[in-house]
Amino acid sequence: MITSVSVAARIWAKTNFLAILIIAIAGIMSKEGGWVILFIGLALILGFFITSPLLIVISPIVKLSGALPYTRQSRMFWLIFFLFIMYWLIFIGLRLMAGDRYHGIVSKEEALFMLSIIVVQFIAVRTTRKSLYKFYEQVESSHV
Amino acid sequence: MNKDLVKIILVTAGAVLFNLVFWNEKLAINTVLFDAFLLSALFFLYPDARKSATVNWLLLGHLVSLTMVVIHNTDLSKISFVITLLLVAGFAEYTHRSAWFAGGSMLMNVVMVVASFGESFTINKRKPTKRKGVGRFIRFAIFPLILLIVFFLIYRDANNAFSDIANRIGAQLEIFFSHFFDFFSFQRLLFLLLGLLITGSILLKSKLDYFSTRETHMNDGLQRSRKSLRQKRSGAMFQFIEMIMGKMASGMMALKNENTTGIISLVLLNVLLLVVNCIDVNFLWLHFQYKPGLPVYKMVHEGTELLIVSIVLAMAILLFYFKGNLNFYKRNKWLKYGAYAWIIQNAMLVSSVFLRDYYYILKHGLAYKRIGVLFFLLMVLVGLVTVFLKIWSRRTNYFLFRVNAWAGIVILVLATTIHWDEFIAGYNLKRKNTVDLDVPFLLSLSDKALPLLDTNIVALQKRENDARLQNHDSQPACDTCYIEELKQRELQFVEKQKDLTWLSWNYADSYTRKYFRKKGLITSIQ
Repeated sequence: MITSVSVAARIWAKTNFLAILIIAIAGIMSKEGGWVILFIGLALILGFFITSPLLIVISPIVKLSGALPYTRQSRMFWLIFFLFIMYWLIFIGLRLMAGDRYHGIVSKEEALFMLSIIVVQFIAVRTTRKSLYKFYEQVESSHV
Repeated sequence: MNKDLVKIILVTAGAVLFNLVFWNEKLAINTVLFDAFLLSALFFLYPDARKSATVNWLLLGHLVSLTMVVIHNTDLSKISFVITLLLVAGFAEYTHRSAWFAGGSMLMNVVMVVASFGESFTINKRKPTKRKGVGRFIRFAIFPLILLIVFFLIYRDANNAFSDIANRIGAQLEIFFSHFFDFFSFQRLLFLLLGLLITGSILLKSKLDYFSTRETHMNDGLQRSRKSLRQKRSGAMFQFIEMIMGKMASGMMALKNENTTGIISLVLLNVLLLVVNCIDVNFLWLHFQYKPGLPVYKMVHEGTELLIVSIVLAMAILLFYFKGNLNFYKRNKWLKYGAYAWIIQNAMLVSSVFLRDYYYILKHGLAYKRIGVLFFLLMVLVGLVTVFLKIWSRRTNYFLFRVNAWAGIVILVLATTIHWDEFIAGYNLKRKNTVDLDVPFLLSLSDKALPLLDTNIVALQKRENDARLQNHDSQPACDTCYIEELKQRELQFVEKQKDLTWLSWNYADSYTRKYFRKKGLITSIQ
């Protein structure tokens, strides 16, 4: 028996790993290196700890995607898109909380950040498709 | 050709066109190109829509809005263009009679656009290709990759020679990526995705037809329904009424009690409103005079918002009493008379609010909010007429909201045919000797008003300076500040125009540009 929470947990964990991987790659590109290992370690621990409440949001989105009258692949695309929207809203919220005025995606860095969220979500969900499809199967059979 | 493949091609082509015509441009003549593509694609995908009278009327409204985007280029025309486009698509793709439900269906299209787009791909996908090897490779690579990164960082810090080589490779990569990103814009890629979402939302019909299914159960004519007490109690509204009325709301005489409460409420409200209307008739309609020393807003403008709220609330009260079986109650004659009197009195109140607005305009000239009040009052009048029709001929709330939505759309489309900024500037400047002009407000109007302001600015500045001298204003002297401000606006306009291509052509900007080309910028005034 697979639940929306367990699927959500997998997606969330993979998202965090991928985010850390990006930080690590950025660390390699930078000239100073000593602090990067420390930073990756911190990101690994704190990242998982801080972002764990997101499961409360990710799980209903996974559940909702299961209820859509579309093929499994389309539902997966929908899920990726709405996870991207969720992270984007969090990003805007954090910027507004920091007193920054958000005027849309203006700089190249912001656009790159947005695209990286899409790519990360795509990889995280796509690599979880087995359990996701199993969850969808369960939802479909419960409707029958 | 396979219809799903056609959908993919059309949506992708639409996204590319969106990217080409709107990138770093404003909505103007480019909108015609994109709209022509969208409408052609829409009627190609849903050919039956061309036979629908509603779609044709909406299309007319949409084309009027589109023309106004090109001619006036106001925000209102752009809003109207978007709303009518969405409604054309909503009525073309789904079976609807109400604009509200069509709007709901379009919202569903927006929410489901990614799934709908994915669906076209999934259906078109042929034999599944084996990609197990790639997946396995990725899984095998994750941990070695992490270890590689960690040890790379350690060795780089520990070994200077290794660090030098790594830095050189890093620098080369940086140069490569910066060149690559100069050529390939990430913002533009996101803009392409936005185009994909917009085109997909308009062209791809969602599989969830919740709103069109709901609407099929809706009727214009009210039907008498018998509900058991248990069914009634499941509704939140009934629970609330029962909390106040107690057994009177649920017993055998419930309908009679509701009728009595309604009559009492309407009689009291009518008496109260009659007093208010009598005061207004005496003060505003018959004996209105501007009192010297007392600001006009104190006399007429204050409380206008509250009066508007009271009219809307009045309609809500009538909808509450005439929501169900009370419409069929044999002894509801007095309740109906009370409601009609209440509607007539509210129409009088609308006239009083109109007069307040009119007197304010006479004294201070036109402004957005004052024009907005006029449109709102027009909508309220339509609302009152439809509430009357609803009670008179036992119509449903669905009818009421449906008719009012259509009235709203007609008013919106008609409102786009006027360039309000230019109209405000023209009206106020024509009466500059009789109206208290708000020059900073006039200077904030859109670019189309610049020529009008330009021809009057010297006189306005002189008038303002004279007024300050007369009033012994303590503020620092400002002999040319309005002229300077207008000069800034004109320079900003010229700068903005430099960044735009023919795709952003519109009559309003072209008119302003031609005016300044002919006359020269305000710098000549100095």
